Amino acid sequence: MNFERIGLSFRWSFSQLLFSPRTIGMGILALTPVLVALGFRAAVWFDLSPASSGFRVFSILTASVSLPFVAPMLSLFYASGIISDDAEAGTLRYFLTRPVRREELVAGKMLSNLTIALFLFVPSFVLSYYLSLAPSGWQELGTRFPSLLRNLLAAGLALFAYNGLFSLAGALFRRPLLFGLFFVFGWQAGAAVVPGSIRLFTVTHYLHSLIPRDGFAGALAQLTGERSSTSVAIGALVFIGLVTHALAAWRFSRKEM
Amino acid sequence: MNRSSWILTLAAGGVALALGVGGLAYFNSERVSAQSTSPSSTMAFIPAGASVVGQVNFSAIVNSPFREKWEEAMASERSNDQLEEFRAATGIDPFQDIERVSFAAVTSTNDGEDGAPGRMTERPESWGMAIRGSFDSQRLVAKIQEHTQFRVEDYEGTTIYFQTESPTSPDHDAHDGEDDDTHSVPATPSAFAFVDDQTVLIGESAYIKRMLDTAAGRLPSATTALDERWGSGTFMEDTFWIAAAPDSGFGGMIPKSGDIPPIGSVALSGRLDGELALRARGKAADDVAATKLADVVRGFVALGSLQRGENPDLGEVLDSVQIDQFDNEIDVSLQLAYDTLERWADRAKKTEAEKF
Repeated sequence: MNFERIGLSFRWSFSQLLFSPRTIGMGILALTPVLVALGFRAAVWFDLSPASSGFRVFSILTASVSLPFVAPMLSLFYASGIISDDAEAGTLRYFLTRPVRREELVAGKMLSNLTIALFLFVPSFVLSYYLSLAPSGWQELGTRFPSLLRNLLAAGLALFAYNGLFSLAGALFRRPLLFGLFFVFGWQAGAAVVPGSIRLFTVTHYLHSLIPRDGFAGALAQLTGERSSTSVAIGALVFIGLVTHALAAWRFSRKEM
Repeated sequence: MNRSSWILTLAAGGVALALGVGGLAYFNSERVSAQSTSPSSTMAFIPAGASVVGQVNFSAIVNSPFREKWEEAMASERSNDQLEEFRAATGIDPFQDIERVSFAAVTSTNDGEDGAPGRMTERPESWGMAIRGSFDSQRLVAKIQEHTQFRVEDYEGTTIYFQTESPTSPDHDAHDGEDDDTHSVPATPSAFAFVDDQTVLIGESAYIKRMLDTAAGRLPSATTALDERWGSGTFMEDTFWIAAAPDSGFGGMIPKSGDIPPIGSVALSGRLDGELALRARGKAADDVAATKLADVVRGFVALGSLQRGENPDLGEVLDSVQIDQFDNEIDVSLQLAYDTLERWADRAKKTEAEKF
């Protein structure tokens, strides 16, 4: 593996993705938490909501919008097209004639997919934190800052794992988008409420282990199965990401085009 | 660098800047608590090593929406004119003249038999409080000396009034001669001292000296100890808070064995904003114990949620419960609307009336 050639593939792929129409749609999706946070600020401004509930709003946004919806959707719409996008555009054959190994080509593309998902997700996530908590004051911003870092770490690991999973799906299946939608809204949603070890085969299980849900839903999840420890959850997400990225690269290198 | 590299760099720079601001806010909140060790703060008088430390910011209460409710509650108890008498005698209006009270106590726990949880003595070994406000010191001294004899002593430039005669208190007399391990708190403080026109110390005589030593920097401050234990001292600027080490201060109140993991230290705090925001932080022995503790809390929340059909207010409060865990620390916060508190108070009165 030559890192220079991977970098070349990454830069080309990233610039293509950044200025593609898809990024406009994904940008709007990524801005969802920001729009909700703006709505909260407006509610505080008009005395419809207490400023002290800022962290709660941010927590709800994280637990119900950013991590379970925005993060997997961003990964899915970029990573699943790792081969099909170029195949449909007819540009794949040109890449394959370049003096770049297939593994290096796909590694650069996977890296660019992960980068653009982070590029869209992280600024929006951080901005929603400040918009939600700013009315609560400087002290609250500082107090809750470790929680933001913890959520960012969890989001980064989740994006890494999802990117690998959906890249592998892109390398394996003809319609990876369908697989991805089933995985996120079918498999993960179903496994979360099924007792037993099946939840261990989801990304959300490890994500919830890093950021436990509160209230009745969290208690119910706890009753239906123990959470993993923080170190196991981090290890599992890194493992899922590494293995799926490697498998995707291996599969692409042997794929009949 | 091409255009996409510039955009990426710009975004990364923006995120780094935002995180830098957050980090600044985080470390700045530490500095805010550190500043509270200045001699002007009542916390500056509280020595390290106390089992229980707390503070009430009366100014914040008076300036909050809670004031009206509080005055109404106080007014109902004012029927015997005790409050008016207190005002007339001391010249102190609790609603206007007291700004802030910090208090501390050193307690001990009697060991239970066969490893059973110990029982805390009712009276602390030593205690003290620092009150900041506007006082007429001469009037106060004259008023207290009407009922109790005091010996005056100068300690490092501060006059301390030591109690020399036990006050006559029915509760105190009732325990005379009894072989009991509990004691009643005396009706008047053992000693008091006016540090300046705005600060008075009240408490057990030896502890008053320790408080003065702490303010002078001769003894370590509880603020430093609290910072070390709780990190950023996040609750010290709250309207009211209390921090304790259950092993030494709350013996017997929190079980040491059983299914609930023991808590090494606990802090409860509250802020009066648009709503009453309550926060409890507890430190367990390790992150496994903290996880179990957090699960216990979640279990209680889930059980409470089952009652939401009968009690919508309770459901609303439970919806606001936020449980976080950072390593061996759990952080539980909730919000209570003043209207909800009022409805609960009315309901409690109604229930009492029905029982009567």
